Amino acid sequence: MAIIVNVDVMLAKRKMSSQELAEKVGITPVNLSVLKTGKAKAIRFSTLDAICKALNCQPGDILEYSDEENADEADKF
Amino acid sequence: MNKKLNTYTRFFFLSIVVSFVVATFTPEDTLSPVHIIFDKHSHFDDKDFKMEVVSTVDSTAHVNNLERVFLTTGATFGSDSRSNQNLVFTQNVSLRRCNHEVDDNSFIRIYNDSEQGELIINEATLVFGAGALPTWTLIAIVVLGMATLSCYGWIVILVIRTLRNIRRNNIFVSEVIKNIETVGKFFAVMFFVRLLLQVVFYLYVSSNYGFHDYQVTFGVISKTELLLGTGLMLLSQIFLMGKDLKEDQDLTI
Repeated sequence: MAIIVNVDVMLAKRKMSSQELAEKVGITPVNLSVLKTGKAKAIRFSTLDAICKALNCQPGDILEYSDEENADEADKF
Repeated sequence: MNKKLNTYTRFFFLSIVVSFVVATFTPEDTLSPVHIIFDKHSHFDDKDFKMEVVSTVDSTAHVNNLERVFLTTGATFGSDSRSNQNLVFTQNVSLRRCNHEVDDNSFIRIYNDSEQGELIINEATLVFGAGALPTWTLIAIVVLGMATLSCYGWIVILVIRTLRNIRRNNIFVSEVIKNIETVGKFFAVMFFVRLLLQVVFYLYVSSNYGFHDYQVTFGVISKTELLLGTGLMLLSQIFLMGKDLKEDQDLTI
């Protein structure tokens, strides 16, 4: 997917553990892991809101759009 | 819409059309409404295992109403030359009365000859003895009968597996979807196998036997298997869509 989740970067910046974030946001560590590894298909606004609040950041700090896939396709031609 | 869903939807609608056409052109509806009813309990002679056709009515009745019977014709019982030829019918072959001015004495008689060896394979009765079925018919019936039995066996196994999964709340999973699809395919295959079986019987009976005042007709084709089969195949693809939705839901954080 072209959307990259930078939660682990923000966690490192805030020196916060995944466990702590999961508790603050109110999701399971498993779900947080799904989000971090990029396996998630969607994220609720309420979850995003809670993550931003816990990490004191903007949604753009967590989510990033990358055009790498399209760039790779273009490189082939 | 995925490719399979498209294909199965077409199959389902096609099977509805086929069922409609079959229902319209089966002998019951298009030919004489006079059918023979075989009453198991009337005129039953315990001593000789004899039964008679007791009435002709406007309702549908087929030879399979009597199991393990041999069919013969004749004005008086036992006098007909065909009485030893062991003519056998399944549910797929029926008789139609074509001469309405039939004499009371020339009705069809049925008797159960306990001395003849019989083997019943899935509603088809095979008789071994004098005047047994020719080899090609016998082989075709055995092969098709075994195919039908195998299909039934697999269907039972797959249905049990599916029900077990559903009981465990595993409804939208690949195994259930695959099982439903396979059961559907088996039902559809069974329709064609039974149709073939019917053709074999019809060809054999119509080319080898004739009845005074009665005509052998193709009989009634069961459409249930075809409709059920294509319906289940379509349902499996709907379940597949459900599985995708469930996955999306599960991976929404």
